[in-house]
Amino acid sequence: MEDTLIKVTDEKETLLRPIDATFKVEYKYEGEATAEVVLEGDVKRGTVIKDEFPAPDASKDLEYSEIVIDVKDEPNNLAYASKTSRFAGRVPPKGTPVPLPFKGNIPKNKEEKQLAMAEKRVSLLERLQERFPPKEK
Amino acid sequence: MATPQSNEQFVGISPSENLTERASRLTNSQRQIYTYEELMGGVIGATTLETGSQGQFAGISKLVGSYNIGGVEYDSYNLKCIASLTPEATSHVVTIGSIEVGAGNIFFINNRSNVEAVDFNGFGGYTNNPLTFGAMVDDSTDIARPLTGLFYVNQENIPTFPIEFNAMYIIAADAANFECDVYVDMDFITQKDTTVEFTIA
Repeated sequence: MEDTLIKVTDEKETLLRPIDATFKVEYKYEGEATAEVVLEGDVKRGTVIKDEFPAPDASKDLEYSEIVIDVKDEPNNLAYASKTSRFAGRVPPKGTPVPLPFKGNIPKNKEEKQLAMAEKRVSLLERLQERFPPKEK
Repeated sequence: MATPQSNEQFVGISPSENLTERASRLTNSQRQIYTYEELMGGVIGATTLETGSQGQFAGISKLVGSYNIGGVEYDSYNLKCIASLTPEATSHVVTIGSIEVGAGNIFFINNRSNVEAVDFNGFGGYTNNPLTFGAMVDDSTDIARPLTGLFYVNQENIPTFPIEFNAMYIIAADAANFECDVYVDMDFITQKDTTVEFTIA
């Protein structure tokens, strides 16, 4: 049954639903030079939903597993940095939160919040007017 | 049934008396006690709506009810905004304000928002409909008609700000010019005991 394997959150464990990011799960075995990618894809609405993490190769010793969250560098994306979480000697636990560090701007005062909301309003209005062009009164 | 003259008469206990409920070991000092007015109104304290830069009035208030959803506890709040979508235009965006929480997402669980329009030269009076496309709006003819475009309340993150910052907008658009008044009345839940701060736009 499909379940939440990975949750992409901020450092307060708030789910980052709108984040535009990809993920990779890698297994590194003892004695091998590089890690092997066992699962990858897009993060959708802050989560990765799959059946299970792939079972590691039973004939080898798992040195560590890693979840790599790669945040796309786009202007409208949330201001969180990419991050890798490592799990020594084991597969990541199901539902593991990967808390991304915030790299944006914490508003310092009311004016800064109001200015940001006003700028966003202008952007929303412009996009609406593309679809619903202004008419003469 | 006679109207109760006071909360005490309605509940049937004196506020100074610490009663123990039958089959319970809890005393009143261990309980959250609500007045009759609070229970019927649902809101803790008065709802104060501040005046915003677009002439809107908006504010939030904490509600009595809490939720336990699959073992996770949430507090509930109410957002209100009164705004005029004027002068008439094809597109309107009113910034209500921001809801900033200490941690966690907010989830809107109830929406009782209303749209009022003038219909003096139509069937007369005012029209009142839930805020959604199809709600009646008016224009300079003073005849109300249904809006066929977009009408919703938008919860939006500001990309440079933390995810806990939720900017709220009223969005309305149609092919022809229109105007109306909007009364936003929505309940949301957020992680129990986290801080919740509203900033008027």
